[in-house]
Amino acid sequence: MSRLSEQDLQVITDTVQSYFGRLTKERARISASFLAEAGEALPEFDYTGMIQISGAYRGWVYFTAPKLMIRYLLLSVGETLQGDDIFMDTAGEIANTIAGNARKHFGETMQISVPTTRMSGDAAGAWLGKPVHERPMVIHIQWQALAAALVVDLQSAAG
Amino acid sequence: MRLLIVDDSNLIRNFIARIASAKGYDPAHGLPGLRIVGLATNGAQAIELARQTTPDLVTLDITMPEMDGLQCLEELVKIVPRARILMVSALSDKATALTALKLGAHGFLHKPFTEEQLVAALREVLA
Repeated sequence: MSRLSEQDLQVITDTVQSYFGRLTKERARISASFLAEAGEALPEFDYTGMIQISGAYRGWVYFTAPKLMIRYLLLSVGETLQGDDIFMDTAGEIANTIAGNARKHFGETMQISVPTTRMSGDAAGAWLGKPVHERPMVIHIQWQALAAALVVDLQSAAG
Repeated sequence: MRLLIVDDSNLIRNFIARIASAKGYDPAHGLPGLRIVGLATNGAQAIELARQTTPDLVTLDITMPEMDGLQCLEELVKIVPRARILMVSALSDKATALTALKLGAHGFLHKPFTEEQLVAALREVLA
């Protein structure tokens, strides 16, 4: 098993930035990206969408954002519906799109699941499953002065 | 022209429906009148709705629960062979797009997309 390279992680951060840019015409800024400390609590905002990765890579990717960011994102694409269901759906769709776009770099042998979504405070114990790494990659995102995060715990199955 | 929208995301279904409703009746955008005849959240539901509504145009996601978009595509080309099918997916690798086109899709639009990109893609698959 091998860890992701710096180039792999750059692809992921570029994908996040261009996602916001294409959807809303305002690119997101990566305010920080680092390996979480072992055992450290991973970031979680109000709504989270998670994608399981399998095939030539294994692990997961999740996108988590506060309600206000998701509301602004929805308004920026003309969506006037509000509520937990559409907010969770949006977090899931963002996670799905970022993971799907990253396949351009990682290849079609990286399989991605449909999103699993949750609200903060949901009593779903081990919702992330067992981490592949002790220290997942945390990418802090800023868009319109609001903070969100993408957390990546992924590794290649190739030697 | 009857439009069936297939995506497990409420956000994307609503977005496509809103744009198709607004632009589909505006000749300036070069689209024929589009009437939404169904909204499906997975491939199995799409097949059922396609049988009932015989759409002329389908927008079809790939990563969906129960039955994914590529499996659904294989069925749709048999059930509604005249329908024009636009794949709308976040999967951005070439192999997936080529597979979809070989299976009978008429176009491929990558997520995320803007209103203008959606209208252009719809126009292209209908040309």
